[in-house]
Amino acid sequence: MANQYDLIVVGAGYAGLMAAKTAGENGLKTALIEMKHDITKPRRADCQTLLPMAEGEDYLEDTVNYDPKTGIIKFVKNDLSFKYDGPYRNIYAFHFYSVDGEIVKFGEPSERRKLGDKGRISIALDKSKVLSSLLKQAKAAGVEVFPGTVVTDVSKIDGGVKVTTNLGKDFTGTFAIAADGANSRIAQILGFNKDRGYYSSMNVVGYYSKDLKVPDPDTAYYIGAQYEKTSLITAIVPRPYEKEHVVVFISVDCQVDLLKFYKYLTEETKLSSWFKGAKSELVNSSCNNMWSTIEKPYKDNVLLVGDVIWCQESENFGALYSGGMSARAVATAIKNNNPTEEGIKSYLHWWDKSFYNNPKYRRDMIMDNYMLGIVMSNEEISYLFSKLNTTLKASMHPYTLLKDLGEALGPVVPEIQKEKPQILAGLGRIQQENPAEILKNEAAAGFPNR
Amino acid sequence: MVKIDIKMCTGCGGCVNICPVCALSLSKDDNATINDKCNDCEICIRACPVNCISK
Repeated sequence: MANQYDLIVVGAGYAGLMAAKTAGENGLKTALIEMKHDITKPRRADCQTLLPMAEGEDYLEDTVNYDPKTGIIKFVKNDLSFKYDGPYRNIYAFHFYSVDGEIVKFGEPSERRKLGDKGRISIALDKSKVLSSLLKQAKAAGVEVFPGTVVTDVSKIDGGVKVTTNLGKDFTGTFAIAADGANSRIAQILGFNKDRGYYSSMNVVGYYSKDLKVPDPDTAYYIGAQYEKTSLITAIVPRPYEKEHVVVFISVDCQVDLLKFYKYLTEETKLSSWFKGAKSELVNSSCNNMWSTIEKPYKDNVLLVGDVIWCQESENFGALYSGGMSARAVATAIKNNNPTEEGIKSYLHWWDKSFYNNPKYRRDMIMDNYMLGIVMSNEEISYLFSKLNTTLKASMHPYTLLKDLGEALGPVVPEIQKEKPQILAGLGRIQQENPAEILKNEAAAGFPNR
Repeated sequence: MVKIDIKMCTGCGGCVNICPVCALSLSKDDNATINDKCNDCEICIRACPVNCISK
């Protein structure tokens, strides 16, 4: 006999935990299924920040507040919140580097630090503590948690949905929420991956480092590099502990040996001095299929959230937000005794308005960040960064950052056109071409779970 | 059947959802583990970010 629930949430990352917690608090009988045994240990590499948070910045038509006194992290407009029980650290600036040490600055940290919380552009959180806080609140709200369980199938049944697992235990629910990440098996089973654009299978390794000699302790760093003819990105982001950072190495081509790239960056480039004497430990990793955005994240009583619908575009903000909004929509549908697409339409409406058809965002624009090292060499990246010697607006906003960069380039375009026209041609490709075209070779090496 | 070096595995679980035949899951210690459904397609070998899966 299967277990009957109002809602089955698959995946206990930020999106799934927020969905389960919100559902439980709204009185739904909720099951949360996760393949890991220890939900609170972050195994998927990421930068562990909450962004964008610079004053006046919005994302998905809302802003996020954090009150360290109460620990409440709140998405203001839609009144979604949770309590974070852990330390934090303000991030005041975001600096882009080439491997030769040329810099583009989004904010001057010494200036921003003087403003205190008002000067921050993001906060660094301890992801393990975010996960344990959310899990605790989900359990307190009555959510039943099933760790160490892999979902192998999802199917439509009379009155809802059936979720099959590797342990021979089936679950049935009125609704399910797919929060099973960028490689979502549920999106694949429901057919979402058949038609949407596939860009590449991205590999990532994440380190925790102590005593890195970065120029400023409260600045996040992005290093753009070309390596083995493809694009490699390194992100160095403060952790909420003294002298600690998370260092994430990302390759858009899954065939690149990231451990070899780590050696190259930390021993053979101009930035190697940052890593001298630092203690670094490999703690997590990930392989993500990069897909284009899903237009309607719903099918057969399953709502799709987080990385399932727009790869990495959402960052933690979008994962938490879509999780909360989807669960709220399910609660409304159950309360109104209307377990249909019509019943959960508030979620689809929110998604369409705040992101998918929001004129502020060019869909799949997040891919721009990953393509620099394909369209230009390390020398060209250095040249480009050296031309931008003004400090840009302090920000880590995934959608406005590159727009600001483009505007700042304006005055030096004629000079670049004269000296290195191929750089402008490369930037033009990123702006205008379909990412699938630029990432052709990387996609050929990948493994789309269509 | 592929081999997994659990000393190197970070337990990210990327391979679990990538496997076309659901042959991978996570052990009690959250390391990747393989069962006899494996059909040697080797997609997980290409997918693993820390190269801990081999033939």
